[in-house]
Amino acid sequence: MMNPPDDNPSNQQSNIGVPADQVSLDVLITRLADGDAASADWEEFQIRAAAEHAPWQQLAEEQYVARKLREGFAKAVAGVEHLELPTVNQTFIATAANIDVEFKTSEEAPANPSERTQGFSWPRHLFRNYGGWAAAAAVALLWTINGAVPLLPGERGSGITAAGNSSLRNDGAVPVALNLSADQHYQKYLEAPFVQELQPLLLETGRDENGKPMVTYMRRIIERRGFDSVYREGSDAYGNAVRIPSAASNFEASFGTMQ
Amino acid sequence: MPAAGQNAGSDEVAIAMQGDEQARSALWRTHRRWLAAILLSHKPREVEVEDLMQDVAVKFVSKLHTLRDPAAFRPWLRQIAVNAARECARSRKREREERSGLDPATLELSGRGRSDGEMAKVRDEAVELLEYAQTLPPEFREPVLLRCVKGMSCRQISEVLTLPITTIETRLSRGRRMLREEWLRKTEASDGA
Repeated sequence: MMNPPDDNPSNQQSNIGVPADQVSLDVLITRLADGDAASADWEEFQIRAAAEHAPWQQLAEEQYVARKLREGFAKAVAGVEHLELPTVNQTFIATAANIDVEFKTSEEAPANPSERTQGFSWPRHLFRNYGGWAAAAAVALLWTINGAVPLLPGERGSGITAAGNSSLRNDGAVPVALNLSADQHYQKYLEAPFVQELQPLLLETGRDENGKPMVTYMRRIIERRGFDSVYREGSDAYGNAVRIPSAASNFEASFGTMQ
Repeated sequence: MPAAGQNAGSDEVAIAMQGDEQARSALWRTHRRWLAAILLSHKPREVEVEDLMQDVAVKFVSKLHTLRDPAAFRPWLRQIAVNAARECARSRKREREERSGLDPATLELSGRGRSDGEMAKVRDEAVELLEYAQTLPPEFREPVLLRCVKGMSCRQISEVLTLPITTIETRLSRGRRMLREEWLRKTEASDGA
């Protein structure tokens, strides 16, 4: 399907440059395929194509490829149409490489501290797709609670759990974990089981009831742990949760081997 | 997209630079599609363009006031997008190098690699052509993809890329030729299969 010659002055203006009789055939074909050709371009093409069929074939191919490419492009950027600028009454600047956060405000905190001001935030569904920019804060206590202290009777776990951590062992009545500060925990953690941390994901920013800037973010951490023993969750005669030692061979049976 | 060369474009930029949020949002809506084309030209394959657009949006808001000349808005914005894509590529490369010793199973847990199921999907010719366009030499990628933006003329592309229109037309036509040849090669290969 060929585009008719276009006498639209605005399109002719877009073709300012080399005159039609001096441009390469490829440029002529592109102009024609895109509907940007002036009458002179069309006439020049017909002169060049009079002797052979190839230019017509190339034009048809160009039109097809250009149309398909636009389709592919439209699909790839469909989501961009709905992406607005973040709501701004604060500007949040962070770097991915370090945990220091620079937080600038373009206006003062609200006079009423109880008012939550939404800062640099987007609809949450965008972050399910891992909208990617960085934030950081101290979270050492989270893994401390989850990883260092074995399940005790009465605590609920999820199926087979593992007790014992090669990096933090209980030395006596008080678990070592409870004697360390958050920073110390973090440094120990970096030795093991920490393997690598991926770029954190910012979820939301705002202010608390006192006007203090708050950041909600997700940290993505790869860990590797060995286990001294394996337990499964059961219950005693009174319905209390208890840990039941499980044979080491049951580990593969329960979790399989991921290779 | 605003017609090239009109003072109205620079005026809108100047107003936005002064902190007018409506003007800033209007600018963003006007220019985001071609920004996406720039990102498609430079981004790592596995990264979604929407993710990078958010990075660009942040920088756009936080750095607009640093723009010295409103007339240079489009090249300035393009550079922000290019830098965002390149930084992402560097970051991904570092992650890959660091993960190279890990159990392949752990890679499933760490970020958004494509699953086998996604890779095995029926290939869309339009998608394939776009992917091939993203592998063209750099000087051809941007004109070819920018031309896909509806309503974007060669003159406007020349303003974004700060190149003469004749250069844009030449690179566009050569890039399209490469796409045609690749499409023909694949078509003939599949016909012969």
